[in-house]
Amino acid sequence: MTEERIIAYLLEELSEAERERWEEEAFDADEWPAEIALAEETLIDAYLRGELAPAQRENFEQKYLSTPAREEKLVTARALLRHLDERQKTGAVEGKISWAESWRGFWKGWRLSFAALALIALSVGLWWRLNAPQKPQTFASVQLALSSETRGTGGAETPKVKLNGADALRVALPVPANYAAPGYHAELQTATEAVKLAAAAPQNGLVKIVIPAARIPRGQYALQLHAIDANGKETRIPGNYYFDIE
Amino acid sequence: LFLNEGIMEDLRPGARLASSQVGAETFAYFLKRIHADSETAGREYARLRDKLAGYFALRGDGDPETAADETLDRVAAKIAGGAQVPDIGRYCLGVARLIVLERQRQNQREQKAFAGFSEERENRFDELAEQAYRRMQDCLERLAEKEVKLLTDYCRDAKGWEKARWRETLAAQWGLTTLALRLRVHHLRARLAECVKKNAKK
Repeated sequence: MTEERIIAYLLEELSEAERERWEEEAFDADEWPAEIALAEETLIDAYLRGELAPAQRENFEQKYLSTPAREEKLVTARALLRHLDERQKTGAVEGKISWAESWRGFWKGWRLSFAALALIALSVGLWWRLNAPQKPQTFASVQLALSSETRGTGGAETPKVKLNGADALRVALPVPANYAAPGYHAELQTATEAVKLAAAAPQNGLVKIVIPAARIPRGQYALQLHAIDANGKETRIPGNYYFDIE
Repeated sequence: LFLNEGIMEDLRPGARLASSQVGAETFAYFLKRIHADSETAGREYARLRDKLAGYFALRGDGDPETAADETLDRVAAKIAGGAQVPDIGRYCLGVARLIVLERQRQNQREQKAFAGFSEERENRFDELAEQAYRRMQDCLERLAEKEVKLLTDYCRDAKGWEKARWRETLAAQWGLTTLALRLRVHHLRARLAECVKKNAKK
């Protein structure tokens, strides 16, 4: 709904079908579009200021001014502009805009934009400094065993880990010999989600991962390991590495 | 779209229902058709009424609110009478178009009566403009100084690019977007127009 289209509608420059479609578009909006009244005001001012093309001027007089209410709008706008123009002429306010003033205004507008951009950049920087993930400084460590059982159905007892205020838990996962691969990644299974974790390069048959303490509040967890071969193909290593956080 | 013969016949001027003629039962039934939940129906009704008033204002109606009420009354009566209306909004628009046509015809009849007195009409227009100018003075004085300043600045005589650039500058000075500035000026002008109208009735 552009201003040009609204004005074309008001001046009856659209075909009957276009007019109907345009009305339906306006009426289908959630609220009656505010732009319509603004465009009508612009049209009336343009007529009074002599800014309409001859054909538009004719349509304005012959077609737009077809109801007493529209005549009243024109009369009121004429009265207002006359008052405002007189105020300018008598020096009650500044007169016509000078080129320098227009340029100053343009620069002022951009200066505000630059200032806003700088402020945004500063805020983002500050936010990043305060909220960006920090490297953990302190660790709790545990080595887990691969279990092919379901939790709680026998087998070895699940390791219980106390973080004691550490920033993260460093976990060592022994890899079965038949799943030796150049790379691995792990998946942490919590009660509600699965979180993918990067793994360091394996050393002495152990894959080490670091889990931020914030990810593992008190509760039961399982890790699953995926081997990644030289072609990038992933293979899930059967079984789980269970642990509890106390 | 809805100006088919059936509607034309049932909603002809003679069958018009004024607001007061729509009974509580018809109105309640209409609201129920808008939405089963009465609160939602009330909100939808108000929204529909606002849109209709906007439409009538667009078409140059002198009393858009009353015209909106008349439209809703006619639609309510039609629905209560058993009309199948799958889309109430579009149906209202159809009826509103019909009312505009009726009013245009009425207006044309009045203009024809004045046709022989075009000079008188011209004079009357000038006289109205002069009266509006005098009433406007009083209305401008009722505005706050900064509001008058905003209006004066906004309406400064400038053309094309210069005008657009000036209004951007003004918007920046007021800490507004250009659209928000336009809306603020529009509301001020609407207040002034209302004030001029009220002064005319005194």
